[in-house]
Amino acid sequence: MINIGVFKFASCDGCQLSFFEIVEEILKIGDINISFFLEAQSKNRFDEFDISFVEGSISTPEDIELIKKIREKSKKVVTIGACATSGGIQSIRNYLNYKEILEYVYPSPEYINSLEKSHPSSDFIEVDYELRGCPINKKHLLEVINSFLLNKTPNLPRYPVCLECKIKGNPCVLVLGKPCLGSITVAGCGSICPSYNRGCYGCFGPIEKPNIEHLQEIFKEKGFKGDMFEDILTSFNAYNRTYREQYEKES
Amino acid sequence: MIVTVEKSQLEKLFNLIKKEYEIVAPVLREGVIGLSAVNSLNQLPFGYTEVEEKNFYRVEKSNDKYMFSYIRASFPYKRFLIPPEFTFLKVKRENGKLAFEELTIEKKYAFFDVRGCDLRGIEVLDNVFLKKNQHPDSYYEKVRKNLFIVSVTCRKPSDVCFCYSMGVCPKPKRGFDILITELDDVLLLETGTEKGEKFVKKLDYRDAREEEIEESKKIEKNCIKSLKRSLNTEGFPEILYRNIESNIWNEIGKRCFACTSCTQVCPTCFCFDIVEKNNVNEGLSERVRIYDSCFNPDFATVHRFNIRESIASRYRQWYMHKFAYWVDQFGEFGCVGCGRCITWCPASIDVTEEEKKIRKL
Ligand code: SF4
Ligand code: SF4
Ligand code: SF4
Ligand code: SF4
Ligand code: SF4
Repeated sequence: MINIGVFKFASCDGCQLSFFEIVEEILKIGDINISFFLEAQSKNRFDEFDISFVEGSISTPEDIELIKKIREKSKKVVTIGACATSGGIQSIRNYLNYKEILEYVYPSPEYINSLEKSHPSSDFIEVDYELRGCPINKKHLLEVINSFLLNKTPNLPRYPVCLECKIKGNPCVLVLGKPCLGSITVAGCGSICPSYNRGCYGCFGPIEKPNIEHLQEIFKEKGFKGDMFEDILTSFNAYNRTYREQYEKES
Repeated sequence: MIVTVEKSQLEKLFNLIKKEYEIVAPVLREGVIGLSAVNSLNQLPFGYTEVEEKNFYRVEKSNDKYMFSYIRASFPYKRFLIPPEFTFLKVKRENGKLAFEELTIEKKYAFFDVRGCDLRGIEVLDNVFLKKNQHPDSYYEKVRKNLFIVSVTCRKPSDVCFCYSMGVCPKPKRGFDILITELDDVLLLETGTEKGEKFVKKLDYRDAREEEIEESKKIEKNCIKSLKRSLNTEGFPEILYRNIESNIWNEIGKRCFACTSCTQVCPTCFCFDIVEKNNVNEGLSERVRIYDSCFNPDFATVHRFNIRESIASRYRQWYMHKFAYWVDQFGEFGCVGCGRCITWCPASIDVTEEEKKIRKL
């Protein structure tokens, strides 16, 4: 019997919903006990976990305490989605003036006790596996659970969306004249957007060595409006470490 | 045999082949010429042509009267010889025992309209998987054995083609069952095998005249003359080995995204990965063969260390494999000059331009 916990921090709950999509498979496996999952059940117990799935970004001092506690009590910690892995859409604020934003959003900002920045879990604890995407691919959830039961490393892609896109047989929409971030974005979604003749907007976040500079040049050459990197920094994976480092390099 | 038939006979030929094979041919879909299983001859993109350049592709109406006005599909036929992803082994728990099930690919394809570059591409893959391989690939072999090939002579190249540099002729000399050359008024048909002859004999044909054969040669000459790109292969492997530590690889590495596209659209790139898909709830394990690429960071990762960490080193692997290592491995180049990697590289990298730069080092 393995014990699973599902936790939520600052997020939209969308990634947790993937669990509801794999209910049947989980029930069939049988040896699974979910002892903590606020969104799914009214009786919850916080004890020891084999795997803890974490959704959402760390954005308050209490969050930091809780994520550390989760780490202490869990054999494996797996982040699910762009918020827990890369700070989420709310980390756009990380590149702006925190005080100004606070005053702009809340009529009485003095009641707000929030961190200045919206953080991925990995800023505070060691994370075993990161599931990318906004939202995640349910296949990856199953892969993690199956792999844990078989005591093997889950097979999660490190290559860019382009390989999935080509395996599907899509023509490249970037060559055809649409902005596509597939070449710097990690695969896993099944190249959904290019398969529908649209550019990837990077919801799975960066590959390990994204060639941002040259892709930006290509975007310019092709006459796409706006600043590509700025658009990334106002999107789902804004505070991913790779993008963060690129930002620091540039400024 | 070399014969001529009226252009209207093409449909009959197509339908005769269709009776015995599943036909795969170029089709126009959402503005791009791809490959697909087809049922009727009019699914082919007759009357269209491609405009191709570095990082640029467009299909437009052709302004000539020919049927085979288009050039070649954006993807190579290798996808039908070795599917991009397929399960070849299933292991299931049954009554406390493991049951093994091997899966093979049962296909009887006819490729209808294989151009010179792609025909040579299949020949290169034959060497990789079968002829120059101590462990012939049984999956490839099975599909290949049943394959029927209708080739077509190119009347004009695209702007990215450089087949002639790689020893490929726009009018193929071997490797086809039937070769079609579209002349002004008729079709010239040449057969390469008895299988091909069997079909042609059922058509309304007559012996080809001398001037018709001349016309076909002229078409080829004109096509070669219109090639805009070239790649000088003379002594190129040695030049590459000499420059293996050159800074040029770092320079290209700054442009390349390591996106893998070039390897996927290339008719000869053959690398694949074997992935185990486990399904605990069904007690099932599937072994899947899936396209891989030397640009994939996992490709050269051994014990968690990627020995080709930099994009530069991955590009070098790709380029050197095509133009140097392949020669050591198989006695020929791993490039047939189809130009697809030039069109479909989203970073605008052109193998023929890089050759010129490398020669100047
Ligand atoms: S469409 Fe996008 S994901 Fe697909 S190959 Fe082109 S750049 Fe890559
Ligand atoms: S193609 Fe890109 S934006 Fe679309 S789902 Fe996949 S990763 Fe997200
Ligand atoms: S390396 Fe490029 S030009 Fe050569 S065969 Fe492959 S795709 Fe075609
Ligand atoms: S160039 Fe790369 S992908 Fe292509 S065959 Fe060689 S190693 Fe494989
Ligand atoms: S050379 Fe071009 S197509 Fe090939 S991996 Fe690099 S960017 Fe992609």
